[in-house]
Amino acid sequence: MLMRARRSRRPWFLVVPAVALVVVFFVLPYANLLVMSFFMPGKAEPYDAIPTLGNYTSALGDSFQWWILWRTLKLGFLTTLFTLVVGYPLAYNLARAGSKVKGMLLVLLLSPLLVGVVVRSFGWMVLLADNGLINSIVKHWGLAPHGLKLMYNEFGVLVGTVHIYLPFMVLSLSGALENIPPDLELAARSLGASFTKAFWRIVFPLSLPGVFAGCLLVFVLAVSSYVIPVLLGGFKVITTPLLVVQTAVDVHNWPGAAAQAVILFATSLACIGLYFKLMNRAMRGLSA
Amino acid sequence: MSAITLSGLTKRFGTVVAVDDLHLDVQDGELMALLGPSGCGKTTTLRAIAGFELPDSGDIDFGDHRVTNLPPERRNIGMVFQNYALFPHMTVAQNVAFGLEMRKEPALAIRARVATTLAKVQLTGLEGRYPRQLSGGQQQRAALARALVVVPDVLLLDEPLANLDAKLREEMRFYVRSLQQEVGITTIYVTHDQAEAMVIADRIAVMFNGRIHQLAAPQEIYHRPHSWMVAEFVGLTNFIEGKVVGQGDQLLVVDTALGTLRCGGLAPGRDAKPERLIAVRPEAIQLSGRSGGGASGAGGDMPGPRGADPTLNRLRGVVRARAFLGNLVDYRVEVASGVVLRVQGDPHAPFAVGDPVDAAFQPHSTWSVPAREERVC
Repeated sequence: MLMRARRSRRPWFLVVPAVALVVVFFVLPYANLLVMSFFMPGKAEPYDAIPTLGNYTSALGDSFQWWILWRTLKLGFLTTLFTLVVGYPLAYNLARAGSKVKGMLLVLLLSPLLVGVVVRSFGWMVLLADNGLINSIVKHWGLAPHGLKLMYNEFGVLVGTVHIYLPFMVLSLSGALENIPPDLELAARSLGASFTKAFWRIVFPLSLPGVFAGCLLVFVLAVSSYVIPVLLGGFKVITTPLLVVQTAVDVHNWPGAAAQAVILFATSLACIGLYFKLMNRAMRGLSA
Repeated sequence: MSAITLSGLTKRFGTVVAVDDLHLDVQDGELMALLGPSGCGKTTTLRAIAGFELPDSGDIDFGDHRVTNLPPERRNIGMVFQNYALFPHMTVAQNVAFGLEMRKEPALAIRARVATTLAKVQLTGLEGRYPRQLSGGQQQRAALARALVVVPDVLLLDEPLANLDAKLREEMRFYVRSLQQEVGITTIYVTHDQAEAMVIADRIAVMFNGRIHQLAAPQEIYHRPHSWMVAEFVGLTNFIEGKVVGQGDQLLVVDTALGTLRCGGLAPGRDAKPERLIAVRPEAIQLSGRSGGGASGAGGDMPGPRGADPTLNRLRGVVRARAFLGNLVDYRVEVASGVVLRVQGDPHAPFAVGDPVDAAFQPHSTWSVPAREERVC
């Protein structure tokens, strides 16, 4: 009773600006997109006022689009996996570092965010191009006489997304890891667990909320990324966001693009739902 | 079970020497308390014994088994942390079973031993609870059970009662002591609470600045402190500065601003300075009324020997403050201008603030220590 009384007195109106922002810039455009996807493409207008399911039937009946969607999700999944694997040791050390070292590591981790995605992708192009830095070294040493194909393929895109989304993963993970008292690990060691055993039995299970948040964040960002696949994939690695833009801007088929976007949205949502279910099972012990 | 020997243990953090050439022998089955203020190196010592810190030099032996460079998981220790460090995602039973699982005991044996150990710490019935569903005292006992179930060679306790409320803490002192006696495991108990150390330990090592200042049984530490730092840290003490001018009958004669006093203590060596601090415990001082001529009829103009006991030290003073503490009354008695003694006395014979009193204490109930050097800690 007391709790409820206190809760009801909270100043609810403080959330109004945030809610307004979300409604105007997120909910309304999405609603517009959803509505648009059920109408015929127009010649002069973005769409004509003729309702149809044609946009969906053509999108869903197109095996090419399915394949693009599959690639998009695959790249999203791989990006998440690699940022997790690369980011976890980094986050662990960040969480366990002394305050001085921690500040330095944080600056190193976050400073790339100060440079835009475009610039960083160009940076990778300098390294990965056919006559870029890596290839000239490889050729010079005769390791691969014709050079390596490092860019304008899925590998190049993956390098870009993993690098650019890594800080999001690391910050999520280190937040969770910092909440785990180092004494827990030491207690496990004192009871006969090796470092590895203590990690898998104690630290990792307790960091699952951070793993959960980080993976979700990176997956969503990676699946919807546009600039990185454009620059490092060079329109050879088409993903659904690219296809949506091409359909809308190049083909002028806005309703078709809207339908593709809705399909991507729905599929991502399904993936996330499945993921929630799995993680809930994994974390049952933590929140019981 | 085995004795613990530390020889020349040294640990530095940057330029700070946390543990400084420490030598310590803990007997098989003994409960040793490491007592000292925070930052004195007692926790670092414990963590080195546990294997959480590698010493810069020196050695650690469990019995005749050198463990200096072994990782913690290969030392067969049991450790209880200040915040218990129970695994929050495991039930009580899973927490206690953890050490046995790591030792690859068969599941059936694990179940049986977890059950008997939980019974020993009176947690039967709470096996399925998670740590956050336990009270502080229950968490504490679960942590003890987790450490004891593996039958460690040594048990290490790092301020295990610090997070309990005062009443429970007092009960748990006796509990921990009797549990240790029952299992007979060599135990090192780190605490900054001198009362806790006195109740629990067979012997106390008082540490300052990474060194042991005194290692002795609780009574010895309390009544015959080696240094003023030990005397000040363990219990309440009045210090009276003076200079040794003579000795006789196991007593020292010391000239002080309050007159010539007799006190206990070791005679200063030939090269030692004669400056001394007389440590007088507040409960060693007896107050008697002076106004209206006390029942003894003594004028007491001069502090010094008189009456039946010629060695009794007697000071004249005035009660400046008093605090009623229930089982005793805590007085501040000014015995000379600016010199205030703390006296703890019988609550049934109270003196009021402003009362002139005689403060008397037996030389044998005092102890003198070398005068203060630079204080570093």
